[in-house]
Amino acid sequence: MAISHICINCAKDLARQPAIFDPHYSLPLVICPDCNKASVRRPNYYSIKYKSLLRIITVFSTLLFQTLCIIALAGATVACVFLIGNVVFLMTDAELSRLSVTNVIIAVSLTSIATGAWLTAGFSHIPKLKVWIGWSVFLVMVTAIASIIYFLSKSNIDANFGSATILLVLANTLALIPILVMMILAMVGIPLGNFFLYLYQILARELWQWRKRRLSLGRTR
Amino acid sequence: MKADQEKIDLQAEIASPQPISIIVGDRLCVHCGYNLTGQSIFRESHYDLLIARCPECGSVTSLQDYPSLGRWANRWAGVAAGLWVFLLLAMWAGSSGAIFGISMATAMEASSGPFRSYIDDQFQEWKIEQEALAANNPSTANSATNNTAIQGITLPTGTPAQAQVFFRGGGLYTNFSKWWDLQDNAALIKQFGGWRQAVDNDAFYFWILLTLLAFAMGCFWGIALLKQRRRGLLIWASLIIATSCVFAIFAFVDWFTTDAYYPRSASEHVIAPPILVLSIAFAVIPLFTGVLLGRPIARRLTRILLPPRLLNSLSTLWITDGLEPPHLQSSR
Repeated sequence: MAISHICINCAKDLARQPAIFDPHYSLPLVICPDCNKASVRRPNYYSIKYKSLLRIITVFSTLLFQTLCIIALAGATVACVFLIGNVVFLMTDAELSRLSVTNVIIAVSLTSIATGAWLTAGFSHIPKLKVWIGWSVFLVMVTAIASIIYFLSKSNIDANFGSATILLVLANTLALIPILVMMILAMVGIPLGNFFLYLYQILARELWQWRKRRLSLGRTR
Repeated sequence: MKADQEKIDLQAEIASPQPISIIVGDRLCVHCGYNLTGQSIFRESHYDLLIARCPECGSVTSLQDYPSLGRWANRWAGVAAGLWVFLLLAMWAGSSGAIFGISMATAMEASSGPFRSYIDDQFQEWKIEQEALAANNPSTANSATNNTAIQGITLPTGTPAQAQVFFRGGGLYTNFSKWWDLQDNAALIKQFGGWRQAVDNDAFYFWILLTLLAFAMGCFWGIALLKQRRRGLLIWASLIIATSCVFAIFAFVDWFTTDAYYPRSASEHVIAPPILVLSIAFAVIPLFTGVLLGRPIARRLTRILLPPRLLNSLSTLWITDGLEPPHLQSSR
């Protein structure tokens, strides 16, 4: 049995009245044979829920992707800062030969370029200056926290509180230099990010054209 | 000809309708699922229908609805609601359990420091005194103070002195609870140098974890209980803390009803209860802060991380606090 569909004007049940498709609005319409009032036949309830679910999945996937990028790139940057610190200050020649300087340069460059591309493509909705300053501040904070944890785990704070604090401040101050260098290097990634954005726009435009054709939008009734 | 007709239709549509209302609830576009909240409602002139246009896909959505007759929609809604309630209850128990667990770990760690060794040393001294007394008085030679005699164990000849001490002191602690009952805990702590000396300060590293976890849980509850205002959220956070306190009561009962058989358990009996209470009380600060800041943080983060096109699916975060949905704010 057809689902009841009552005319809101004259209360006639339009359940057995076939719907006509209005191409202008893309809506299934039923014209009441008694009062000529048009009403829209309800679309499938589950299809809307399904679309809503798809949208929510898209939203949360994007959030997850962005969060993973933040974790990965911030982690990689902090690791690079520590690597640079080790190469410059701590390592002996033997250790340096094991951990090739070239490898460190490659790691730093790749991380910086990926960061630049991601900041450009992933945050195109925020003014660029805000994004870059915000990310730099975030990196400084993460590096500071990482240094604090590192020193808490390595040094005997009770015995050498003064010297540990000085070391900590020194390390954080010195960390600013590699972060600055990496942020300057990250600018190389801007064209790459713009290219990703361009690809995305092309894809979105094509999708919109396809959807427009599918929904027959813009046609006259 | 066709193009002209399109133009006329478009002009008619643009010219004629004036918005007669605004969608304030959640209503999804039937074609793309976009949340139409905040969109204007028009009276369409040709069919006299109430419509709204999806700003994303441009399609028209009818606003005239009929109740769904299918039973499964309501059934699935019931199942989803039940699952959500179950999840919230599980998270409630989980939050309280996590706060209690970390507080308990802090309490245990705090009591495993130098005070435990001090109790051990005091007990060993007492034992040596008792053994000396027993040696001087043969009638008490087999008394309860002599570990090896009581246990019926004779250490092999030539056992190193250190191993003997370990075996008697660390391995058995036969009369420990008897000795412990004779002690005045407050005096013992005072002798040791006070609470600051007795508590192992490394335990407070657990408070970093406690702060992060309680704050994260607070944020979760701030977002999950969307219908609650500040007062309701604070009451809920208090309930979580109260449940942690209920868990703590079990630990207290265990401490106060069982005897201390080892220096470690004795140290726990003295130091752990106040530290446990202190840790749970400390968790109130990050939990309450998280509960109050959860939604603003979520709003700020989603604004940063998501492009405006996707933001409106989470517009509930704004609407629930009486704020304008983000896509309307950005369109101004």
